[in-house]
Amino acid sequence: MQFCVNFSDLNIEINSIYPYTYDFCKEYITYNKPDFSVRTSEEKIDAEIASVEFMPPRGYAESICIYREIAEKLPTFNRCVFHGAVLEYEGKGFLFTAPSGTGKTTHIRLWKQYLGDKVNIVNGDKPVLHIENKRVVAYSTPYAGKEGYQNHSSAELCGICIIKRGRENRIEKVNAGMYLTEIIKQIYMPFNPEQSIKTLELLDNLLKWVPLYVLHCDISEEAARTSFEGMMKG
Amino acid sequence: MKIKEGFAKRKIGERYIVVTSGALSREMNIIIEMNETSSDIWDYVEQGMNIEEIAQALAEKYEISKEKAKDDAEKLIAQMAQAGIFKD
Repeated sequence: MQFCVNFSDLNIEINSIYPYTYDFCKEYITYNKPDFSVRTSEEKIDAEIASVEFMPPRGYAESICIYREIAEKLPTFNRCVFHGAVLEYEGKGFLFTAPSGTGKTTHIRLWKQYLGDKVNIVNGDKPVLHIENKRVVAYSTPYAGKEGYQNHSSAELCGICIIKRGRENRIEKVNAGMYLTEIIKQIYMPFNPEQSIKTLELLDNLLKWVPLYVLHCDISEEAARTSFEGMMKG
Repeated sequence: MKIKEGFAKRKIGERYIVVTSGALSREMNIIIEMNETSSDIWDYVEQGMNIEEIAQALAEKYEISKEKAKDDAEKLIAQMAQAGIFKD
């Protein structure tokens, strides 16, 4: 089937074999003229299924293939898919990132607990970042990890926070040069070599325009207060 | 001494980053962080310069002795060889 979604203010035509992706993206359907289009194939779906340890349904596997196809093309439009969680508070966006299993989701829950409804979860796992004209805007997509935390919204990024587990809660603004490898691992690196170079250029701008913080934290509300106050004061 | 095809290199802040892309990313998936001198040596190798030429170029650019430049270049090239950067 063929339909069009709007992710990060781009209209993307999707040609899918199974109906799963259409239902999954329902909130994001648009009838505008597409900026570009993507398609999958049974072979790509087979490869996706072979790459994971469990046996996903084909429709689900196709939805993952489709996001990858989209991520391949985003750098052309000064955008990329980033592995992290974006929260928004009073119009300010904050991106939390960490290797899987470090406690990103826990930290998001702590923010919700600490700040309540004033916090909007833009996307809890794989937002799209639009990096252009000295500003970075994070957009939600339906691809939001196993918890599915996302709200169809966007926020201008005011801070990127690397989460590390620690015994005490402290946050510091850091020089991005010390954390390049860690950050690169969280950005979608396209297969296409030109798009890879473009992605590195986007990363350079991202780190130039948005301050980077490292948070050492436990799982108490104090952890949320530390990162919130540390990044709000800028 | 030829660098495999599929590395993407770019300056990010004050550092240089190399990632693998395309068909090469199926074979190896690495991220290399380098300083400016290492990035220069990488470029010289890519341009097909031999060790003497690289040492000469480094010595001129950084105003160091040719012996020191050659030593730096040999060390980095050995590391690159070990990391599987070169074609067989």
